[in-house]
Amino acid sequence: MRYLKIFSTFFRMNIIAEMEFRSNFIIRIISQFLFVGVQVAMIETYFGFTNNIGGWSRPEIFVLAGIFRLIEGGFHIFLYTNLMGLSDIVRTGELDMYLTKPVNTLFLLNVSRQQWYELSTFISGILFLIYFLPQQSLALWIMIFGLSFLGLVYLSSLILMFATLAFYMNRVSAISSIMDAISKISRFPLDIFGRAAAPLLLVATVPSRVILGKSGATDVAIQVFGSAALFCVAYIFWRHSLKRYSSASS
Amino acid sequence: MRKYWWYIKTSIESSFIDRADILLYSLSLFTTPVIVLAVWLVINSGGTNTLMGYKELVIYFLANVLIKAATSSWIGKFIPGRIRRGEISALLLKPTSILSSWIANNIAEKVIKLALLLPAVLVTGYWLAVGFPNLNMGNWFLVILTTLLAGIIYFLLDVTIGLLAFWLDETRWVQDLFFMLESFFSGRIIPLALFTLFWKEIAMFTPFRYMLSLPLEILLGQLDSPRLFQAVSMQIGYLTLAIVLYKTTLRLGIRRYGASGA
Repeated sequence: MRYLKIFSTFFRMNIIAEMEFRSNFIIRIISQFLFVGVQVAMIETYFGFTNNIGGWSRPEIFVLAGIFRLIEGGFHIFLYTNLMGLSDIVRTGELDMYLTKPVNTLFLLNVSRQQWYELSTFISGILFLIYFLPQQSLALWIMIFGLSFLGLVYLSSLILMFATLAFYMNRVSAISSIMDAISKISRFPLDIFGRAAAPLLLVATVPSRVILGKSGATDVAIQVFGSAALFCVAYIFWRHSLKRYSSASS
Repeated sequence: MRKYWWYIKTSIESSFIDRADILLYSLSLFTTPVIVLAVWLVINSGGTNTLMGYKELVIYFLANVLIKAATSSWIGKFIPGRIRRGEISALLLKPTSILSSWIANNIAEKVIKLALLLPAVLVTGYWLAVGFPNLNMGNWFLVILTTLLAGIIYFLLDVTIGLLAFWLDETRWVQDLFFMLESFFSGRIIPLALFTLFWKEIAMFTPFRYMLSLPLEILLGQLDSPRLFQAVSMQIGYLTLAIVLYKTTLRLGIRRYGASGA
């Protein structure tokens, strides 16, 4: 309950901050939809040369793009700015402020800055799915949100592990470049590369495969176990690395 | 000139402090084109792409790794913070251009990234069994020249966007928009030769083609003499525009600037 209250306080603060710069907020939403246009143009270009990419048809690739946009939207709203800024927070000693609060430090770090204009990314994902999924049902949408949440947990854990390197390295500014690479790669059906793409399969490919009925319970189990396992590993790595922190002045 | 050499030397030295970070950058620079190449090879294996075959695609995307590393710029995202905190005052007081330290940092990190990426690209090229592009000396010279010009255009546009912080509270959306259009129109994911006519015609008139695609097109011998002349002229045109934009933005921005504490 206390955590919910903290979250809602940060939510209110962030919305107020976004509304102070309303024109920025609106321009950002417009540019997000432009981004959707670019993504559609890219997919259409691929399918100008083929009917399928490794067994994935055009509508299926759009469903994959939709699922990834849901995950990416959630990641950008809550985690992106916070994890990208972790390196600076550690280097400048600002982490002291978070450590001295009587709540989980990782939770506090990840809710402090939210980017609600990225809701447009999330909405564009829903629009892709409404348009390209052959059948719609309540059960399917529950599955979409459930599996996308697991994909989000997997992606966040992966990026958290890179961000945690801030305790060992002088600077981790490459994290935005890594996220950019993951974002570009995960829009493709990575199962066509077999084991070579295994570390990124659980971001969006496996959830999409289940939603499209290309696989069943085994993939769901792999997704649940994989996301939970990576989260545990990332959290243990974070807790272990936190011990290395020695503030900026000490 | 000695001042600039000193800047570059110290930037290379300080870049080695962040070598792990640069290694991560290089890894991400290498991964994306290689995965996209693999996707294009899958598309080609069962599709109807007669415009670019196996060898062209492999050379295109492997060269893409090196040319992207040689032309990219990242300083723009750090400039707004420096303007807001008043740190830019120190740069304005120096007897060299405001760009000096940024250029030195850009060159230093590129040297290290290229040193890391070149062996990876050569090994991958060898593994995928493609030889070197068959070009004459003149065209090799043009590849290097257009890469150099592409890097300058990219750098100046990136700095100019950063300098918009003299007027805007938030410039990240401009950068995001710029990088999004760049990733599409520069040929980073889809070679411009594979664009539909509609997108190809638009791409020809954006600056993004001249920030990555042009050296790759020359490398693959996709341009005949008249089109090559036209493309290089366009690149020089965009370079001139980028210089004018940078100079104007800096001049007007400084006029507006009030440093914190001043």
